[in-house]
Amino acid sequence: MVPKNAFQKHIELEKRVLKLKAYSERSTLNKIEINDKKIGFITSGVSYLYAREMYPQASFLKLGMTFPFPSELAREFAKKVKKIFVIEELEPYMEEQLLLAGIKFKAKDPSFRVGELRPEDIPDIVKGKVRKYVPQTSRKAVMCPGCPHRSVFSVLKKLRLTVTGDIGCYTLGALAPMQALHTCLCMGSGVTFFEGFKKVLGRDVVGVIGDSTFVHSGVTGLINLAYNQTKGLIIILDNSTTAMTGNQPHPAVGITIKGEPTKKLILEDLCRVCGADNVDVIGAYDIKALEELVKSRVNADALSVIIVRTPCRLIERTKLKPPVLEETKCKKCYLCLGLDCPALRKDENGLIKINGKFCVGCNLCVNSCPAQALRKNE
Amino acid sequence: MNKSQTINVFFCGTGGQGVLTAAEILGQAALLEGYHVKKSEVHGMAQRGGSVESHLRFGKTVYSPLIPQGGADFLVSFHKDESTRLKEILRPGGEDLTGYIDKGAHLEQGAKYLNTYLLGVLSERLPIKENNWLKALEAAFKNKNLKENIAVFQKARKEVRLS
Repeated sequence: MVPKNAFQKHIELEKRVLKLKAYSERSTLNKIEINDKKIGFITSGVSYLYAREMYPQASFLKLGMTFPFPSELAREFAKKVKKIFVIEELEPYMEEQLLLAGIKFKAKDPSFRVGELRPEDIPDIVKGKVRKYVPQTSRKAVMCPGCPHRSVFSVLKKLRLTVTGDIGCYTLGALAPMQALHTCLCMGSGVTFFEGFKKVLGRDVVGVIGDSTFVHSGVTGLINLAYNQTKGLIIILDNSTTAMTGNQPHPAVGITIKGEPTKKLILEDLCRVCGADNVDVIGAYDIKALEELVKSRVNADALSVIIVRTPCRLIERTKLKPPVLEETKCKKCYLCLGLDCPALRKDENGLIKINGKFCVGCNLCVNSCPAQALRKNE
Repeated sequence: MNKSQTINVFFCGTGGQGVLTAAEILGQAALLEGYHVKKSEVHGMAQRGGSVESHLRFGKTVYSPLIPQGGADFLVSFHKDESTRLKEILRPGGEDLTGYIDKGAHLEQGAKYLNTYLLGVLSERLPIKENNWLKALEAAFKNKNLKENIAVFQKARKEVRLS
């Protein structure tokens, strides 16, 4: 909108809010339910259901339209009940509206401004208690056995690189014992954080981003890298799907959301036109070649993209034989466990065990073993 | 249990075990039986082995889609770790069906039928008629091994009756 119109339109907008306020006051979306007059709840949405569950006999002002707030309706409700409680998740929006209107109510403890409400919280709010925080332990999420990301991170860790990361399964590379991914903010930040980190650190930084995330919002970052003449390395972890959310296709897969074939975005062409000087495509499992390639690109005076292309294990289900373990050769250094592979564990005697059900024969652990106790099963 | 009280079933497990499918089937069967039904799901990182829980409530009128802590009549767990973590949801006197995981894990049809097995175990405890269960199973598995699922379901029911 051009500025001249914007001024006039803003006046109209303010008038519209007043009209909506009048509507909110009389709308059937907002209704008073009078039962027991000792307790009145002002609430909306699922919070209403929780309150109703725990206090079925109470009185309610149930709001289906909370903005503009029907303050006169709330005043009418307040006259009918003895005490008012506001049940809303997070920020005290409705509480503030009541304060503005000068309507008395019992405010929730500020501890309830954090986290989702549950039905059992309602009595605590009524009693003016502090939120009970029950920390929940849970099993750690982990990359699948044979995951191509694990290969890449094993290389980046070995080279002691600072890795700016992004959102996807590969974010799990941040967790112990891998700890090979060091930032994660939002989609695209694997590329844009790289630019800032590179400027500050100068060297030994790499940005990683998944294929679908790159298509979603990594492209603009790459264009900026080229435009700002930043040098260095971005790795696209191309498992040819959107794995973390359940294997949805994306434009670089060449399949529509309905499963039909469509135009396929060629990532290497895209990276070149964005301004990458070098674009290499390599498989994830040849980690020696991958290591050499990363070494040659990471501090080079060029903008490079390496596309590590190996399909997700949820797509490529072929299994090879698990490696052979010669226990007598094992020096118990446990470097293999540093890969965080669900198929490997240490038993009660400190011996390494391979779970043949989980192992897909990627042989990454074979490569990690300095004592050659693990051997490829040909 | 009579039809006026709300029955609360809490399902939990990990991604891919069929937790949500089981809750969906119970919900469908309860709807066919004429109950008011509410179902709510909680899942985070389910694709990478994260936890999955589903709250299924049915009765005359159900308000909250979540079972209040200490309010579940049944804990239907697909994973022992999840039972340990989440068992506080059971009401005093509520029934924990975790013990059935081992029985359901060694089915001749395979471990992926655990959800149908546990539903069979649960079904013997709920006021829902067999034909409504079968209709709900059919709706869920019409193109996916329906025969095997019904066999597992009936096997579980029979085992409960004989035990």
